[in-house]
Amino acid sequence: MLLTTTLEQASRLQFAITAMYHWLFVPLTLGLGFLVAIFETKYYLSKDEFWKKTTQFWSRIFAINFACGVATGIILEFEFGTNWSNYSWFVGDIFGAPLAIEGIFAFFMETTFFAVMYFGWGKVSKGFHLASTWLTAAGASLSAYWILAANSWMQYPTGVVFNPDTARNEMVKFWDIVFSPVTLAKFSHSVLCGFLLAAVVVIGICSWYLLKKRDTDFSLKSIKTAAVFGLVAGVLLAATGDRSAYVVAKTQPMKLAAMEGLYDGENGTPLVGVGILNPKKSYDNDENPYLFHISIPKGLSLLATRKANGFVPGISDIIKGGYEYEELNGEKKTALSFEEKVHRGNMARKAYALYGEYKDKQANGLDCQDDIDEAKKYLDENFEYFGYGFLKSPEDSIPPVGLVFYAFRIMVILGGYFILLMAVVLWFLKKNILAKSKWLLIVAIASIPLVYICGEAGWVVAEVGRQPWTIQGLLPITASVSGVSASNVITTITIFIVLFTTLLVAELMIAFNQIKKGPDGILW
Amino acid sequence: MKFGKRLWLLIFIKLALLFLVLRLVFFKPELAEFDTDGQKARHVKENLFMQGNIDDGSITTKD
Repeated sequence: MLLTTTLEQASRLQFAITAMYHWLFVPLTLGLGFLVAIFETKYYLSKDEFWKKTTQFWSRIFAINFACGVATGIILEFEFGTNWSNYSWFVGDIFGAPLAIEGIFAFFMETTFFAVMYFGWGKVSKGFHLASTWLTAAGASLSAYWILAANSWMQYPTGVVFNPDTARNEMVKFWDIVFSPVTLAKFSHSVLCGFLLAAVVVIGICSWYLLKKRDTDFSLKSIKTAAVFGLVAGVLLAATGDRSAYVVAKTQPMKLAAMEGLYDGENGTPLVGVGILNPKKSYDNDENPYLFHISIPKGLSLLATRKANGFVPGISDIIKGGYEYEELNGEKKTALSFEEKVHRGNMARKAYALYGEYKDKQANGLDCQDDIDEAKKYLDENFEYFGYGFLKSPEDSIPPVGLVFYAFRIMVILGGYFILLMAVVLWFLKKNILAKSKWLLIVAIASIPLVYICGEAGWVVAEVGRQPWTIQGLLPITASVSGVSASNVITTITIFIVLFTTLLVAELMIAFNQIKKGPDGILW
Repeated sequence: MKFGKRLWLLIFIKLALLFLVLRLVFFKPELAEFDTDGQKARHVKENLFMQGNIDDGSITTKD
């Protein structure tokens, strides 16, 4: 079997395209579900038919997005089995259990109540319909929780033991996985991203109506609700982003260093606001890492250590090791160098190989239980560095710094822009001049693609930033891929792109058609 | 209900493509060719050990 770089790159490309396509639909489902629930609550409380019409219009947009997005994530699961079979086996039930719970419980809850929400008008009581709408929104978030718990485990593997006989990780502390600090940070940040995205989409669509001078009352009232919702989500998003960065500093320091383009750490490390990286910089030369930058003094130390003069390791520091750091549980340790980690990883791999040999001998009648126990002891002692045994040089442990650095800035700058947009829109609404402010309406419409770029950039930071790992420290990408041919993967990428681009165009046409009809054009 | 029918059609086309074309023709699980978990485990172990030079590691030296 030949595990080539081409196969690895093709498999990564396919997974990235599929995941990014999937994330085009997920955030709007997450956020618009709650906005629809808020609109329907207004109808339930006021008995005003206006809010019923508003609810039904946004329900229809929700339905289109749901229909477009449903099952796009399933291809990721196909890819696990076909392109990432080593990973899928190695990860065992850690990944399977949350995905199964997501599929059996959360997704069915979401789809069941979605059916009532969509088809139940006039067929069930108003209270039951309202409850179904809230449960649809909650089900979507719950669904996201389990997926993100599985993803978070890959970034911060916890609550498991490795079984050398089955070559699988086995779950021993379910709640450690479900409520790991990475899961909580990732879930809150991702879901709030969905809330903000939905608010921007609602404001953008309504701004188009206002520009066309139609459905003015509907648009202004929808914008008011969405802008308050978006502003609250945006502020909370910034807070959870801060928490996420703190957790990344503790669990994935290399990712944080890449996000900042930081090579040489120091006490009181500044946070780069905007900057241009020096392409000549590498971990082993003395080039200035930035061609240009504007930084906030001591900002990164505050973000990563909660101390103005805290030490934040850079890429070169992480490779050299030797610095003191504190883990999430408060335990203080001295960082190992790259070479030491590779050595420990090789010890783990060799112990594992010997374990297998002794097991085979035992199966043939030889008494070698002591040797098995000894090999198992070495494997357990060094297992947290198992994946380093696959890396050949320090460069292998560094993610693509430029992509992560710029994606992080795109996410943060756009995130700040959206908070400002919500505040400005609310101010213009209060002054009763929004419908006449053509420039702001155009800005709001143009913000729709930007909010999608912002969300995708966030995932680029999270997923590219953790390279080269599929499971942090335990399994690198190179060891995770299957033995399928690269040409097979490239074929499926091509098919996927053609099929799903066609579907996306069809789906967008349906959505635009419904938006053009507007709230008065809906016959329920 | 023309709109609803369109959405259902879209969903069914998508699911058919996913499960009848992509899943059956292109995305065959690599480990499905093995009958038992033991065979699957052995195959993955072989993949894990064939990469790199694990003789670089020494179990006689502890850090």
